[in-house]
Amino acid sequence: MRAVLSEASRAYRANSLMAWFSIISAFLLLLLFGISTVITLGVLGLLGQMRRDLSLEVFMADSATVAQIAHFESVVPQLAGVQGVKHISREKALEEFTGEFPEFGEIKGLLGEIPLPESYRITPSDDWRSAELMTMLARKLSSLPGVEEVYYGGEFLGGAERVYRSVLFVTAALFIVVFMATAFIIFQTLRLTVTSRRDVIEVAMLVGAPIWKVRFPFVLDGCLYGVFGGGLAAAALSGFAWIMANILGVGIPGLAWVLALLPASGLLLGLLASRSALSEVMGR
Amino acid sequence: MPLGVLEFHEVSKSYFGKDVLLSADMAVCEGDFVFLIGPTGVGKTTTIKLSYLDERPDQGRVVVLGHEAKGLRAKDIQMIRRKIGVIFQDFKLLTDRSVLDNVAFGLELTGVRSQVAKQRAEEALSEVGLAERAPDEIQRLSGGEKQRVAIARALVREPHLLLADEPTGNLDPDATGRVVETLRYANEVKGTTVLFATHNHNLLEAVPRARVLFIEKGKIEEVER
Repeated sequence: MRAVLSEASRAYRANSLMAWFSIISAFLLLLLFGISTVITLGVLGLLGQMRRDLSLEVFMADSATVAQIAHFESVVPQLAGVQGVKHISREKALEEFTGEFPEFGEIKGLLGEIPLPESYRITPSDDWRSAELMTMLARKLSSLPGVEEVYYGGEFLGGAERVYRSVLFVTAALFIVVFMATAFIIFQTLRLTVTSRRDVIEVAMLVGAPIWKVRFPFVLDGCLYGVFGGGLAAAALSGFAWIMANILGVGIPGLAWVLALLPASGLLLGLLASRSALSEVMGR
Repeated sequence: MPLGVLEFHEVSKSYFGKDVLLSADMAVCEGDFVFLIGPTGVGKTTTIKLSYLDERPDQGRVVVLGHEAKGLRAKDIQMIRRKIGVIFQDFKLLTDRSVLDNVAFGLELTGVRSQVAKQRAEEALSEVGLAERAPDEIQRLSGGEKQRVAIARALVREPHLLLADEPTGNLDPDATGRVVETLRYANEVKGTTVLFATHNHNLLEAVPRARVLFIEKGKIEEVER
């Protein structure tokens, strides 16, 4: 093993400038990927929070009859996608309203009556918490007799979902680009290294060295370039996360996973690139 | 009856439509010193390459150390090569390490501990008269010294068969004499079987007991001395 490690060290020294170019490229590209992954996770977390907080506010018409309200209360809990129904009386609505907007605390005294309608707060089932299904549920509720308006923040949710899909698409595209670019750079470096070390490979094959011992120094170098680049990217990203947490007070969800993913991606890239380079130069 | 170390049976080999060997037969037995003589370009290098399994015959059988070349897997070839030493006209020494490290290289890569490999490399360098050059860089050696380092690298693994492909082709007469003498010593004292390919007829006198094979027009014929 000592001889193999020694050859790995010689292979690195034979092409150290390109090796550092590979490491720095891997670092920058994986850092870019790490940041975009963190942003994706942030948007995903925000979207999840929005979905958890989702409810539909159904406002009844002032003209709604007792029979219509009774029909509403009996039909709605049976609808697909409805998990719970809570009646919000005018008094409760006023209490919530003035709690949120204290400056309107005297509104009942000024108008002589409560200007808010009877309403129901509908909690959707977990599997219905998407913009599309919520819109479908809102349409069903709107069509019931006695219902004036249904509000559920659908446009906002739809917008958030579109943002998430865009971010996810960009991250996925970035992942592919980063993966290919990093692999290509490490591949080129190792191709040059292996080519410049052909004499060593030739002699090693000639003396009957096991194939793995001939290949391993180059595979090791490729893996180390990737892991080192990924490790540097993880260190930079954790510094970025520290600043976000301690100065801006913003936590990054799933950070530990991303930090582990970066060197692991580097390792995988180095492995693939070195194997490809060896296959091309050594012909097997 | 000595054992067959290397056998060619009706071996043919061609490159890009040009026949190099045509139903060539050859047998090298254990303990032999064999000169393979012929002008440049007649197939000496091809014969050597077939012998260390770097090439496969188009037709015929090559048997190396009892192993039929046809159908050997890469792993088998590596195992057989551990019992073969090869030296070349261009030495194939590694310029990024010392003389000692060049000789120890093959041993270390085939599993011998570094310290033991270095010790055996020193002994091999002593045998070829280069013990004092062990720490030197390869670039500081003369052509003859480089070839003797290559011989030490081959001999240190105690090969059953030593193949030499024009080892004196780039050397002056004095260095040539020392290289041939080193190979003769390996054969007579250590019992190493040697196949020495050269175009230089004058070398035959240096090893009077050697067998001589002449290669021409794709055929290998034994020449009586």
